[in-house]
Amino acid sequence: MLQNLLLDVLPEHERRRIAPHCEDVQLEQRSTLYEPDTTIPSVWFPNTAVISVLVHTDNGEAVEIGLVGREGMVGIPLVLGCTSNSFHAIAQVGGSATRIARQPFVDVVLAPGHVFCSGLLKYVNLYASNIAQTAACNRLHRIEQRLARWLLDMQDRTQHDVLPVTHEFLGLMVGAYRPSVTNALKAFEDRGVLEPRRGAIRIVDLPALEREACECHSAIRRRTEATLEQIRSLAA
Amino acid sequence: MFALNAGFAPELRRNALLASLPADELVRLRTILRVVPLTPGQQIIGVNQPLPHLYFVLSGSVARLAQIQSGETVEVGFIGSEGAVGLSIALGGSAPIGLGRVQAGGSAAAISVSDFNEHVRAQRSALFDALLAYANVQMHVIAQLAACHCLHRIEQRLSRCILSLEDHSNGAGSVQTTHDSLAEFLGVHRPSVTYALQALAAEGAIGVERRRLIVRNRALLESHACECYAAIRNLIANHRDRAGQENA
Repeated sequence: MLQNLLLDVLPEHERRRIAPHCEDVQLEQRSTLYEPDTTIPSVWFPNTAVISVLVHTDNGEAVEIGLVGREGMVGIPLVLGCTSNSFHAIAQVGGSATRIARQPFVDVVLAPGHVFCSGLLKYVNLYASNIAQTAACNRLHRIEQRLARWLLDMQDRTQHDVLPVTHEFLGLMVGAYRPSVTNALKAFEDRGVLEPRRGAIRIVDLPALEREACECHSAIRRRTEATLEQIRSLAA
Repeated sequence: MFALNAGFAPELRRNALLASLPADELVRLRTILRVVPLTPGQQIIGVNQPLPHLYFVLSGSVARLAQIQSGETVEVGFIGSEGAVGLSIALGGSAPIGLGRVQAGGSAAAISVSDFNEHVRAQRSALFDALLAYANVQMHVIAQLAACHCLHRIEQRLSRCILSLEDHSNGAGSVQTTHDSLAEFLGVHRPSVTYALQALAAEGAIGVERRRLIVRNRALLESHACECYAAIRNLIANHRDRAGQENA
């Protein structure tokens, strides 16, 4: 059973402090956690669920700016003392998460002087640097590289080779139009890297997919591991 | 000594984050803030190197760039006197959020990591909360530009970029920049920038000089820009308003 790593690295006394405010929830695939320009009702720490954070443009297009699974948290503006935001968070993969409602999160969990508060700010820094990396990646890396990166990012979070995602959604995730995504997937399938499934994609050759991906996948994974390690050492 | 310090505080108040602080807090901070010059092209935040200082911009501007391994970049925000560069220090993070390169020369009030941790973070001062709220604004700016660089056409992005640069040059009506810099901001090759600039110039929206662009018809330029220009301008204006109210 996958457990949220941000909660997992906390020392025992800190976990006991926040436990009364935590609630186990199941998130359905495609369900919305919060919409743009609304008040964020709570924060979520995914276990098996994976959340896409999207930015919408005026003409109805959208781009994913963050993929959050067991390594992270959804609802960052609340950590920064803000309640509203312009992002859209949806469950890309349904599953379990730990939810903390806004009021206890802000009043109790974030109370200054506790390890969790400092740790979450380190996570916010990681999250912001990942968005910046994605901005450069979406502009400068080829669609095949970005597609491979996204599938690896997803596989890191689900730890499954079968990823429940359609071509149409994949285009949205990597900021490309569906035909170019379909072509890129077809090329990967022809080379035996991926295999199409009904409403899903299976990773057949993980090392090959890693070779196809841009550096952003491993760069972000390294930064994530380093950040979690720093949060763990806060308690020491 | 007193006379010197009394003359120093008004300069610090040119920065919206510092101006939002209660007078006694600014008095306390001015002994640890050091005013430094910002020279065009100077890299004040690098990648994979420790962040020595957090900079509150007093005048001029800094471009935040996201870079990939090949060295290619895109711009993910211009920061002027409304903000600060080196937010990773406030967040206690180890990796910087992009590169920081001085765009327009000016000055900044710098605070070292150790002074920040001792005098601002540990005491949970008003400045700390102001920086967190500002980090939320910047996160939205970066996210907006992540979508923009991906979805919008070069004419739209170039117009947005020129307008943002002009906003950060105190309404001078012109912008000091080069085709190479614009190519780095937009993540495209230089000929694409030159071509798009010529098209805007032919319409009379801008004038193109060797190291300078002149905004001749702002309304026309705004009509070419994508919605991201207004979205980011509003984010920054709201931040300035909030900072102003803190001190009211």
